[in-house]
Amino acid sequence: MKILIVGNSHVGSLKRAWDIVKPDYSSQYELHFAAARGKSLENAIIEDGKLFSENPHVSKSLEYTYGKETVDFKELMPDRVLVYGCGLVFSRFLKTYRSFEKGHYSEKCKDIALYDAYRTACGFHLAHKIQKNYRKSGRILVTAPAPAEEKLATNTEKYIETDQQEMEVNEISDLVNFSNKSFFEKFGLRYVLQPEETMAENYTLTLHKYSVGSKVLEVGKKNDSKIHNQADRNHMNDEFGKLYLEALFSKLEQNII
Amino acid sequence: MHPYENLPPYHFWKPAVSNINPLDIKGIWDPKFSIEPSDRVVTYGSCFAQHIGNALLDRGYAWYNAEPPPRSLSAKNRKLFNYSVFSSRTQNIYTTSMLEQWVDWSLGEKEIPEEIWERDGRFYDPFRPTVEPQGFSSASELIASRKHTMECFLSSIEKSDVFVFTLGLTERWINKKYGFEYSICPGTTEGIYDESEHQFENLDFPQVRKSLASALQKIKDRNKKIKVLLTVSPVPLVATYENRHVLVSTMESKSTLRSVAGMLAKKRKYVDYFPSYEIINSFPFRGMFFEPNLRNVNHHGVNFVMQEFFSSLDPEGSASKPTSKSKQGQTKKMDIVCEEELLEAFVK
Repeated sequence: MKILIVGNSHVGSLKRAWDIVKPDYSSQYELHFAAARGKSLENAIIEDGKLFSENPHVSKSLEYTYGKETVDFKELMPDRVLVYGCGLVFSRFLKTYRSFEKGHYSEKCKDIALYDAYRTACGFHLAHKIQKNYRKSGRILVTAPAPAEEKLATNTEKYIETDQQEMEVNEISDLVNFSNKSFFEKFGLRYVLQPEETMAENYTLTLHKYSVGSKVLEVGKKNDSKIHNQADRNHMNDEFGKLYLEALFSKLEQNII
Repeated sequence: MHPYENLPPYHFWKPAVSNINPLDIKGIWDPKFSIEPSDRVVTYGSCFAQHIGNALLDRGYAWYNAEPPPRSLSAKNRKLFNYSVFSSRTQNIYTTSMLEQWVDWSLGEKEIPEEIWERDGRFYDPFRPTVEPQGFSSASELIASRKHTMECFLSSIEKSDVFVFTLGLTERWINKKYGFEYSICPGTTEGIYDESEHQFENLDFPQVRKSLASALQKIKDRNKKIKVLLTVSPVPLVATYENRHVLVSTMESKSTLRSVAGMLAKKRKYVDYFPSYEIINSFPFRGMFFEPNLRNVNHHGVNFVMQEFFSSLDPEGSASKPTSKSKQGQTKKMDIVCEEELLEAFVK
């Protein structure tokens, strides 16, 4: 099965993790990566089954991560495209959905509020553009890792959970299924939540340990693979990437996604 | 010696108006009660009330939104769905009798009529016909939404310190058989006009006074600590159904509303009148605060009015600095939702 992973800096942990787990999975899976840092893929052009950018810096990043400046879907024929990072955190859905309980809102208003929640996520547009432009590209999966818990101090086990919305494991998986039926599938997309074991108790944050030692995405620049600032809670490390890929492969084997 | 001898200059036309630049006319309002930034203020009424809500928010006052939008809904879509326009999704309450109707319904003193308008499989609320763009998906969705707004409207009365109401119109359309009032003439936005069912009325002074006094009393009974601030919308009628020129109807309508507002403010300790109508509409200002269509108030007018409002409430100016990042609290016409303007579509 051919999987193309497109995204921003977050893709770094998956790309490095693939190098680790490749020997175990290469007979079943062929992974390709196309990434550029920040929001630079926001203005990527997708036409005639090809993804490219007019920005030379982005073109270079694509060349470094994918091997070519242009991703030709017709040539690659991926079975799945995973748009990873780029603001696609599940909390956008979750917080908006939860606000529906605080009043009475029409179905149309709820749909628009959810769309507005993801409208500013560059990954949402990217995924939707890929889906619209190249329908043969297989199922389009979307996701981003939840931010990690904030550690109070290095010598204590206490953590600040900045997102206070606690929930049970069943609740989060039910919500992801619901989000797919009620929202993502309308755009031809499917949300794939990060592995349960990587999530903090409240299922809206990632365990602190998976953000420790996260590294900068390699795009052929000086700071490639440099360890992120300690205060960075958004990027995950290679161990997280490994768990994510293993969970992804498991779901694919079970035909869940 | 005579009674005029020791009056301050603002009592005299020459020093207070004719001898000065109109933009220097000050001290036009002496508030009866204070409104602190921490006071919870709700705003309802005609289109112009929206400017007051916006300005209160912009200056860091506690404008109370009893029916907030869902999280993430963009500013543009909030307006489209009529969230954060008034303190609940009543849409414009143009007449004093419509205000009384909303109060009666929310207090459970009168039954909410079952009438619903339907077109092309979408459902419209006769009392807020454009509250939902393209209508509701079902009658039950509409009823649930209206019930929720009613609860929020009541909650806004119960939880507020100041109830601001802008009087807009005297002309109204009612259901002949049951007597309830529509927010706008049926058939102009949604619904179907039927001469045998729908009736035009132009409220006169006693009717306006009676309905407003009754509504305010019921509000006061529900919330003993509430204070009321009345304003009259300076915005002329889009159209009149009286058999006469719209200018004459506008002047009669606004004069009636202005008189009632003044009378109630004079007779009730908890009611005050803020003269935004005079600032925008009186001739010393030479119509400078209107857009070229001589109807919509331009942002200079809104800013001038609101500056007078805040400087009168807070002469030291310690609590009334605009906080908006955009254009220092200026309000644009596009920020205002005014369904009465839809009548303009019928100009031949």
